[in-house]
This record gives sequence, C-alpha cells and structure tokens, in this order.
Amino acid sequence: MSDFEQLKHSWKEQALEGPSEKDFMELKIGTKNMARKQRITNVVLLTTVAVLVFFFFSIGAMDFDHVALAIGSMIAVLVIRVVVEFLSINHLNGLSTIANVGSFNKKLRTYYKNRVWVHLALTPVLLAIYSYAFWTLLPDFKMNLSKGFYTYIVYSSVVLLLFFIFFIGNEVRKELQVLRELKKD
Amino acid sequence: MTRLEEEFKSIYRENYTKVMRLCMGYVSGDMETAKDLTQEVFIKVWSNLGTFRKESHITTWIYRIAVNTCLMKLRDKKNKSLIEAIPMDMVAETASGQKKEKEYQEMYRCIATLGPTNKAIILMELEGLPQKEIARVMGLKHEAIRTRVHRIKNQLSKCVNYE
Repeated sequence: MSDFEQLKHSWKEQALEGPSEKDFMELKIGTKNMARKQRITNVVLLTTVAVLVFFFFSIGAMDFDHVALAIGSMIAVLVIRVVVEFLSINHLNGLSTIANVGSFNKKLRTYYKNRVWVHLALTPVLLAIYSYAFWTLLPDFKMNLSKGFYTYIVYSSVVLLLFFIFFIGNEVRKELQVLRELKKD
Repeated sequence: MTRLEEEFKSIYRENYTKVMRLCMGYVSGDMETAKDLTQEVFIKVWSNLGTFRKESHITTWIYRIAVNTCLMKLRDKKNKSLIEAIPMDMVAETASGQKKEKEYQEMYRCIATLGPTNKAIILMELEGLPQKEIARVMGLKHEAIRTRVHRIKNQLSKCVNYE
C-alpha cells in the first residue's frame, strides 16, 4: 500500500461520532438565530447611526459654531465608519456559499483586498479628521474645564489614538494574512 | 415535521461525518472548532436547500458549501493543536492507540502545510469523492484536478516521511 493509500485508509478510520438528536435541535435553533442575529445587528447599527445623527442636529452643528462643527465632524466620521463596517459585514454574509470554490475564493479575495484598503486609506483619513476636530476643541476644553480634567482628556486621547493605531495595524496584518493564505495555491 | 425537514434530517445524518472530517482538515484537527463549523455548514445547507437544482449529487453540493464556509472562517483561525483539541478520554491508552494518535497528528500537520485550494482538493480525495465531482466543487477542469491531486499526493507522502 502506498503512503497515500495508507493515509486515505487512516483518514476514514478516525473515530468521529455521528450527529445526535441534540445536535439536530441545536441546528434548528441556529437557523432561526442566524436570521435573528442579522436583524439585531441591523437594528443596533441603524440605531447607533440615528442617535449620532440626532446628536449632530441637537448640538446645533448646522449653526456653524466652531465647537458644534468640530463635534459634528467627529460624529460624521463615526457614522461613516459604522456604515462602512455595516456594509462590509453584509457583503461578506451575502457571498453565496453555493458557488463553486474557485469563484467564491475570487470574491473572498476581492472582499479582503477592499477591507485592506478601508483599513489603510479610509480609516486613517477618518482618524485624522477625527483627531483634527478633537484638537480644535482643546482650547475650549482648557477654558471651560478644570486643569486636572483637561490633562486627563489630553493624555487619555493620546492613549486612545495609540490604541486605535495598534488596532488598525493588527486588523491589516490579519487581513493580509488571510489574503496571502487565499492566494497560496 | 415537514417533508423538507425530514429530507434535510436524512441529508444531515448521511453527510455529517464527511463534513466534520473536511472541517477538521481545515482547523488542524481541532474537534470543537470543526463541530461548530459543521453546524454552520448545515445551517447554510438548510437555508439553501430550496435552491438545490439536483444538477449534481447532493454530497457534491454540500462539499461546495463546506469548503466555502471553511474559507470564510480563515480569519478566525485560532485552532488548538490536535493534542489540546482531543479530550483525554478519547485518546486511546494502548500502544496502538498512541501510534494511531501520532499518525493523525502527522496527517493534520502535513495537511496544514497546503494552501486552502489544495487542502480542499486533497480532503475530498481522502474522502473518496470521484475526481469529476471534485472538479465540479472546485470549478476546475477534470484534467487540472488530476494533475493537482498527483502533485499533492507526492507532497503529502514526502511530508509524512519527513523527506
């Protein structure tokens, strides 16, 4: 028997249990949960966007007062990022898994390429706008807040910015790794 | 239970272990992750069953969904090694059991060195799916599959023999 034939023989000999009645019941629940989960995600994301848009108008950002404008820009940036993420998740979940593997792989690669671009181009631009808007607010914070709280805001925002840069870097690394893996053969 | 539900239940029972083995090949033998993946595959089978046009065998169709689902999950790859993944009570204590265990570990180690497409091809070949059907799943020509299978077989044989 060749090495491969031996492998083939051993492969099918693996002791695997068949599905239980419990597995089947869980599967049925899973089918219902999947549709519900999607609905919940949609509701959560749309609510977030609605709250942010509502906040944008309630602070009077349309009055072009520089504080309101800065906060408005920060909100707009968040809304854009949330919407992009929402569309991205929907796009991935919408890929048809009944397609042949070759064409599915191609679509998956395009998806990850787009994701990398979102992380490398769009997100840094949005982060820069957010940071700039925040920076323009600092004199107002300094004037209206206690020295201690102002210092806290400045330092915590730097920490947060560093955290985001690290987070984005990590996401890019992971997605590039998947891309490399998908291109391997 | 409706007729479609009954049909699905029999498809589920018949194909469960095949899909489970394929998923194990993608997650280096991590049984727990493979089980979750298998359930996800069958959720997709169930939701798409109405669209199955019977142009190919149902197993071929399920393999498509299984491989695509495994590809989709590449990003979440946090698989435990085979030693961690298999519960202690499942590890045979006899010498032959330990030998088998080592054999499986080697098998998964070697399968893990392949890219996702070659992995899919060889996992279906190991399951004994005809190459014509593998070609249908992959969307490649039969001839291309035959060449690839030959190459991967050699690669795997060399790997298990540490050549």
